[in-house]
Amino acid sequence: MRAVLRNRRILIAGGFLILVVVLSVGWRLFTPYGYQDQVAVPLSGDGLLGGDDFGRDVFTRLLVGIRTSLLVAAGSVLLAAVAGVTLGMVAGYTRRAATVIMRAVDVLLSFPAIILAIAVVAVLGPSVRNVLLVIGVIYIPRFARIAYGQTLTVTRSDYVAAAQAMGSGPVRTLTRVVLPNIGGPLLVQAALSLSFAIQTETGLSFLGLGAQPPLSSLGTMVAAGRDFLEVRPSLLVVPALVVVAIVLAIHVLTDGLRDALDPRQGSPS
Amino acid sequence: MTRFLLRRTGLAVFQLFVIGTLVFLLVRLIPGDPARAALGETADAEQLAHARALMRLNEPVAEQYAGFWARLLHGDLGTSLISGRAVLADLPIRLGNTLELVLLALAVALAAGIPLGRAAALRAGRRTDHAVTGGSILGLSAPVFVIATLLLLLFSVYWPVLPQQRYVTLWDDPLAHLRLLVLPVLTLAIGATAVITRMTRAAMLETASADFVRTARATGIAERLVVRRHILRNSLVPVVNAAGVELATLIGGTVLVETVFGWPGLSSYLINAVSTRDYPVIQAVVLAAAVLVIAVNLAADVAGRLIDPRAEAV
Repeated sequence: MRAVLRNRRILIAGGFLILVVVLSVGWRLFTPYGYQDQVAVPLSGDGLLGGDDFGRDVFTRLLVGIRTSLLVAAGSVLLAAVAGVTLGMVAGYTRRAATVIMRAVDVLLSFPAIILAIAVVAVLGPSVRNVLLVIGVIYIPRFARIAYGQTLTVTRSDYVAAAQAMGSGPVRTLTRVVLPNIGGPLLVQAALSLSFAIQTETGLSFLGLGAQPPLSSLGTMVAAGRDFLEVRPSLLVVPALVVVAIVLAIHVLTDGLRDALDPRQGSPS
Repeated sequence: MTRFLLRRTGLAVFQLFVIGTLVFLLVRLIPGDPARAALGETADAEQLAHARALMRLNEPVAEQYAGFWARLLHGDLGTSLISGRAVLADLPIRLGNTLELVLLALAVALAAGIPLGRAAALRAGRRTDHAVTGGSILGLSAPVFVIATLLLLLFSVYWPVLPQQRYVTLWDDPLAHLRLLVLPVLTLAIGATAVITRMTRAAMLETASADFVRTARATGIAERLVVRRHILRNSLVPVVNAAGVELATLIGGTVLVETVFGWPGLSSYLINAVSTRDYPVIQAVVLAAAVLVIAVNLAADVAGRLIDPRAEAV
């Protein structure tokens, strides 16, 4: 019974995320307006979610905002995963200078990402591209560390020795033998990082350091909504709850993924 | 223990060196002339020369780097390009204000999270457990700025018991100061409580299945004592470690909390500096945050070692 319940939770979370991705990536199909078009009476209830202070359709801006936040988060996690896994696997396989690299990596790991991101964005200038790059670089250590630890363990196993004995070179061994065997924990880390990246991107945009107007991000929408707390609270509440719902769905999926990959660490029944 | 302390301190110094180098490089990342970037197109030659001198851009890079560390070791954090004040004149007060928020939030999180996690672990799989686990995953999922703005909406529009007011220090008006603290601390504490709760629950469940717990039960002592002396105490090391990591997260969270609630801490100092491109201040704040995080991690590792001497070496 519990397994069914948990599956249902995962189904709901997964279904919700798919819906959100389809709606936001294909936003043009679901709304007749552009995200800059002034089509409604400002702050009115016209359309599905009303208009914002410029009279732009809030529903349209919401879809585009989700798209911005998801694309930045997914892009930065992809960047971090590719760079981090490569670094970590090479360090773990060759064990050369590994300790020094990993210790340096640990500092970045414990440092609050948003403070570093703010400092770097302050220097490079606020833009969606810079936020993506900064979050991506800051998250590299998370992947490097896991890939490093897992590679160290896996390379000691007999099947790696067997592959090497069969004449498999370092590149082939790493990509064909090691990578498939360390993929599980990395996948969990990717899911977890995605939720952190969404929180960091929306936070930076909220501070005005991410997406620049007129482009919307969930963070800029919440920030803009603050000015109309008393007139139209929905301008703040709707994007705020959408952020929570997306992050929550990712967390539920991550927990399910972790349980599936490591039955020993699951919650007891 | 001495060896552990030495090695762990050495690691902290190394980490500081890495972050310091990154902070130094930060200003060199600025495309073009940093003085021009800071002051804008309207600055005249004299102002630019002054800013360049303040940021020591006229020296060769190697000398800049050596001078950067030399001045830091002498306690010179640089001079604000905007106000012309020494950063060291403003930073300590800001740091104190931020620490006030962060430490209070962590105290609330520990006071709420450990009992909640304990309750969930003892009733694992039952309704209490589901409620606590569900609540904590929701708490983890709400970004700080979302909690902050929703609380602001709730307490300023729908239920105005905490009217917004200007910042006052604890010494000037203690009661008003405490009222000001409520929302920022609550905002920060929600996420931290969720983390501590999950950690306590997981650690207690793992400890509860250990052999020494079975042995303790077999001796016939009261279940209450088994839980308190054997399960809870042995579960505290991961919780203390999580609290250390969480402090770093909380410091990151203050960036948004201080902005929303107008709290004059380290983070709002940073945000102001970012909007005015006051690079020396940005560098100093990032360094201060780094020192804080590294010191906290060091303290958490040492505390973990004191609670459980078997804890893994560095």
